[in-house]
Amino acid sequence: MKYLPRNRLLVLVALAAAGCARSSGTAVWIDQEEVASLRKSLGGEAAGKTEVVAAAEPTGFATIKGTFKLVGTAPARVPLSITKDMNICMPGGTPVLGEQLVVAPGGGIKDVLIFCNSKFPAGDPKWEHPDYAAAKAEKVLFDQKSCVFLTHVVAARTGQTVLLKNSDPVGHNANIVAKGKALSSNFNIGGNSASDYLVTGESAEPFDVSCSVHPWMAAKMITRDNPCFDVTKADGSFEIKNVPAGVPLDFKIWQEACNFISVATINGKVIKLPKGKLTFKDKDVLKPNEQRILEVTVDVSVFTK
Amino acid sequence: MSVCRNWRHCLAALLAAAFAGLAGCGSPDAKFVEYRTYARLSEKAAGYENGFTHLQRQDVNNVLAALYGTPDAPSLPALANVDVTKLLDISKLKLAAGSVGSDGKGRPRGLYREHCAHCHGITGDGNGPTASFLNPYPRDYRAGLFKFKSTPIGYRPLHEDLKKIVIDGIPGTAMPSFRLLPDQEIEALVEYVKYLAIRGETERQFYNGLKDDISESDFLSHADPAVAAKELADGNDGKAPAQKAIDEKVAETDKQRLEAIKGYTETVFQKWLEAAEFMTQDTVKVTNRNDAMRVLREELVAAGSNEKKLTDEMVLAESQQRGRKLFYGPIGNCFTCHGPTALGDGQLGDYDGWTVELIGKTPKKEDIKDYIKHGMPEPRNIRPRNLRHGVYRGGMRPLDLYWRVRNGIEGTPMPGNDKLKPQEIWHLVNYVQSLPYEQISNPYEAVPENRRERN
Ligand code: HEC
Ligand code: HEC
Repeated sequence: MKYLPRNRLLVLVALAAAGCARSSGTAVWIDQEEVASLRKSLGGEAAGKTEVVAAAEPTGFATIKGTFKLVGTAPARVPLSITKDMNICMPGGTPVLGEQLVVAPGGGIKDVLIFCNSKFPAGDPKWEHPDYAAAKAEKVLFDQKSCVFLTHVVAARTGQTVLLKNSDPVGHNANIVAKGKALSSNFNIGGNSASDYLVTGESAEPFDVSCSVHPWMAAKMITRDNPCFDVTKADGSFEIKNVPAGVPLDFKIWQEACNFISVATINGKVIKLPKGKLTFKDKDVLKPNEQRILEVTVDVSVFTK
Repeated sequence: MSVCRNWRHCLAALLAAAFAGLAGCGSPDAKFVEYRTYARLSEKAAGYENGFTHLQRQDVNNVLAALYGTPDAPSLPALANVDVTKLLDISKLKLAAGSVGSDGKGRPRGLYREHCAHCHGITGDGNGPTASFLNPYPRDYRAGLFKFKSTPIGYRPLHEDLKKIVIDGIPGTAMPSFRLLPDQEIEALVEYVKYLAIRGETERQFYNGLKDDISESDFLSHADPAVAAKELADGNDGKAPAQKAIDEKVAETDKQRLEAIKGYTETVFQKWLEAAEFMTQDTVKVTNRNDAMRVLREELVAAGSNEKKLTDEMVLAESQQRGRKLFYGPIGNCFTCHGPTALGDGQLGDYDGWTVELIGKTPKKEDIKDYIKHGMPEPRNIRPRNLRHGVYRGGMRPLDLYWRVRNGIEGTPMPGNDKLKPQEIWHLVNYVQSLPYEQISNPYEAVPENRRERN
């Protein structure tokens, strides 16, 4: 249902007229007919839960692995301003650098997050390899030492527990400001102790974890329902095992400095990634037991623009 | 499809809009306003240079109106997977909504606009006409975040939590007590606060959806037959599709979009229902203070205190002592923020959660300017409470303080303490309650290293 430009004019005039007292916001203009029709379709549907699942069934499992490398010179990492507990947070007076974009001498990009964005039917062994079901009971370690979150980008799946650890003698806390169906939390973690964070739902994108007492401490967390994700190591490498094969899948690729990566060269081919999305479909669908190698290079302009 | 189909309609609508605008100068305007700050945040994250299009914004407004109605005529959506009526009662909402007055049967109407809107705004955006003069600012309900509640950070408040705030007010802030209103009216107002919160949270979900979840960013509007036709043609070597195929594709796309809209909306309701469920768990049950003190008494006797000479005052003093140790030690860690003398001066550069969400912890000037332009109030630092005053915003009962220390204060830097035993939380509460009476002749005396000499 498209709108006539006249309608827009009307909105402008209405705004001008309504804006007399204060600029507290844009009063809402509503298209009554559209609302009535929407209401009818929203109320009329009493359908049960429809899981959005890819139609096909997996035929096995494959591995996706590779590296992310930077083309160009990485911007210098900025020293953080350490203002508290200096003896613990800045041992020996050595500057502590920000971790937004950390690039290894060989060009490897640390902390690139790659995760499968397709919905898996819950608990279906055709989709979720038994290894993952077993690994779900293991806690994901998230430690803090010298006032640094040792895992800068932490990923965990629904049902898993993240162990929020504090290896410093001073108190910290992990202030998790969640998005989507993930749960916010902010518990004090006393010196040399730990707290648990149970992942109860997923988020479509990473969210902030910080410490309320040491404002420079910053990390990112993502929680996902399905287990297929990884975060690149210092050398830029990643590996996701037991990815469902034989079905089309969407992945998303994210890095803190640029949010979702919009364009990359994958195995020599320039590929546009709308909102970070990399799709394996048709002839690109993974084959059972395949090792899909992704050699990815990203131009520095993607991060600095 | 538009109201403005010919010039007569246009003119009538223009005049109506102009009058609505004029009327809005005296009393708050009776229209919901867009959640511009959050939309801006989403636009920026999505990398849309020019922001969401007018059509996208119009779609959000239309869908919200379809789900929740207007300030004069609220409504609730029918959702397949959640029982909306478990959370909100439309008959109560109608008492609170609308303009001030009464219905045919003499029942009041427009309670929210009468009592709350000048601070909290028609939309519950915390931006009513008096808001900018207040510190702290009135609550913006739309993020679904509330400070003073029995549930931990991350969970929505219970109905009773909000009701307590409306009855008692928030001492030390502009939020008044509405104790004198009849229970039925307070109930209606609490329902209305939840309604505005849920509406705002749904709006956030839609902007999130526009930003990233759904590949076609126009998921809130009807499918466009022209787009459907092109997609079908593209998939079939450019051959023009039959009308039937187009209709089917449009219907299918519309169905998917409706599912998406419902999915987002259900997520919001589920969060509220989840809180009530969570609070029925054993692990969150509070041990009462008397029990905690009895256990401490037994401990002291077991450690050799003379049972007959051990008065309740002595047990309390021991509890306060233990609380004090936690307060100034690395386990409780309270002094980092509340300061070495608990005057609330330990950490002064923070902002609250509503602000940090938009501009971050160390905001840049241009971001502040940008978000103010879109309706964010002038950012102000949040102060840890001065605990020497003995004024507690979330309530004076020991139980209120227990919840603050156990659960933290949502939307503020104040963390909770899930690793402390209930008894230890009570020690902290006892110490906090003694602080207004503890002497500070020399502020430095209370610095952790000196604490033994003091007593
Ligand atoms: C004079 C201004 C004013 C009026 C009138 C007012 N409030 Fe408030 N309200 C505030 C302020 C200021 C706060 C924030 C206090 C804080 O952050 O500590 C607040 C906070 C709240 C909260 C949030 C509590 C929490 O735990 O986070 C609720 C709920 C609330 N008000 C409901 C209402 C209702 C319902 C009415 C009308 C019956 C109302 N308020 C009228 C100023 C006002
Ligand atoms: C990271 C900083 C921080 C830490 C650590 C902290 N607080 Fe707070 N506290 C705050 C802030 C900020 C507020 C004010 C919140 C608000 O806006 O209402 C506050 C408020 C309070 C209040 C007032 C509650 C009310 O109803 O008015 C109490 C009591 C309190 N804190 C006790 C403690 C205790 C006990 C500890 C240690 C276990 C502690 N705080 C640790 C920051 C902190």
